[in-house]
This record gives sequence, structure tokens and C-alpha cells, in this order.
Amino acid sequence: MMKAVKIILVALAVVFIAIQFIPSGIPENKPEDKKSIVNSNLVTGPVLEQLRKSCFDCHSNQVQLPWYSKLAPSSWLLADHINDGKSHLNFSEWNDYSNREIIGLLEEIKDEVGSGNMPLKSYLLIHRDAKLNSEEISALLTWADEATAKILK
Amino acid sequence: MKVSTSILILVIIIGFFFIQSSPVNQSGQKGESLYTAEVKKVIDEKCYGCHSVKGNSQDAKDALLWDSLPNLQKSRLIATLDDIIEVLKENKMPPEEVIKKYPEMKLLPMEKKTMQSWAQSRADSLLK
Repeated sequence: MMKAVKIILVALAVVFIAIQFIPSGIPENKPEDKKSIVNSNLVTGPVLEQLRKSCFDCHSNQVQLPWYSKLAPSSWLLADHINDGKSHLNFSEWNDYSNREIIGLLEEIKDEVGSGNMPLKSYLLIHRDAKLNSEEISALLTWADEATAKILK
Repeated sequence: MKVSTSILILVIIIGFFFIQSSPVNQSGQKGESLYTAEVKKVIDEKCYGCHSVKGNSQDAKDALLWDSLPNLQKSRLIATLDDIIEVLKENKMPPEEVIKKYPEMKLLPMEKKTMQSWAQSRADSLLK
């Protein structure tokens, strides 16, 4: 019995070590450039800070990677979240979006933040400071409305 | 006098119900100006079955109701048109499982182009 347990543990350890050699697929961070929302005329200080704190980890090229990003299989899940998030919305490439796309994204932000779907619950389990309180949600919704109005003016 | 008043009231009530229950079973009835005849034809044949109040899929109805488009506020309408453009670009609609079951529902290249050009030009004119 003890021998079987030992074999299983060794096998698990071997598998765990082996999967560390599989690339995680986490995209590389890039420095902020002129394409970033930071350099658009649509965002102000406090809202920008809120976006950085609550959204940038999955929706930008400046991701604050946690320690478990270096360990498979959690790194695979993280890569999946980040790649999926960035494919929907990337604040680092904001100025590459057309006005039509920006309005679409702002409406989506209102839906997702307003309904409490974003930030993801699984993300908030570890990043407690990213959680939005009701005032922060209101501020983001107001910002999205004002930014839309600015584009449509 | 009494009888004629009653008849009049009855006619008004029946008329009211007739207007209320008049089926909105074709896209564009509430938004003739939003859709061109070509676009309306594609919507009716390939999209309306799911994206109308009579559709079976709640997800499809939540995502898009063609009859509601003319009533959307400007920004919401632009966002919806943007979604339509994206979905068409990625060939996500009609869904694969629907096409497997009903191959005739697949959008022909011409129909896809018609829908894309329409959504693009509507969005552009709203952004002017």
C-alpha cells in the first residue's frame, strides 16, 4: 500500500516537473506607448487609476503577473484569461480602435461593470483590491457615458 | 343612443385589441427606415427566427432583437451594429450547429456582404 502511494506521488511529481517545460502562452508585457488609453483624451486621473487597478491585468499589455504565473497548470489558466481578455478589449491598443469600436467597447464596459460580471469573481478571489465598490462602479459608468458623448459630439 | 354608444365602445375595444395583437412577425415593421429591402430579406430568411421575441433561444434574444434596433439610443445602436460587423467577420452567425441542421440557413457570400455594408454604413452615418 505504502509502495503504491509512493509510486503515485513520484509519478505526480514527475508530471508536475515535466509540465513546467510547456510554454504557458502568457503574452509578454510591453511598455506603454502612444496607442494606450493613457494617451487618449478620454480618460482622467482617478478613472485611469481604477482601470489600472481593476482591469489592466487582463485587458492591457502591462499585466502585473502573480507568483503562480510561473507554475503550470495555473499559468495556463492565467494565459487563457489574459489572451481572452485582450482579444475583447486591450486598453494598451485603445487608440487603434475606430470610434465605432470604442463606442461598442464603452457600452460593453457599462454592461459588464454595471452587472457586476467584471472584474471576474475568480480574479477577485486573489486580487481583493481590484474589487469595485458602488461608488467606483458609478464613476466608471459615468466616465463611459461621458466618453461616448465626447465621441458623438 | 345607448345601443349606438355601446357599439362604438365595443368597436374601439376590438380595434384596440386588434392593434395590440397585430403580429410583429417580420423585421422592419417597426423600423422601415433602418433596413433596406435587401437587408430585410436576409434578416427575415436567416436571422429573424432566433433574434425575435418568438425565438426559442434566450441567449439569442438577449444578444439581439431586430425589432428593437430602431428604438435603441444612438450609442447602443452603434455598439449593436459593431457587434453585427464583428460576428459576420468571424462567421459566427448563423451558429455552426444551426447550419449543420439547416444548411440552407448559411449566409451566402453576397448576403454577408450586404449585411456588412449595411451595418458599416449605418454606423458611419450615426458617427458623422
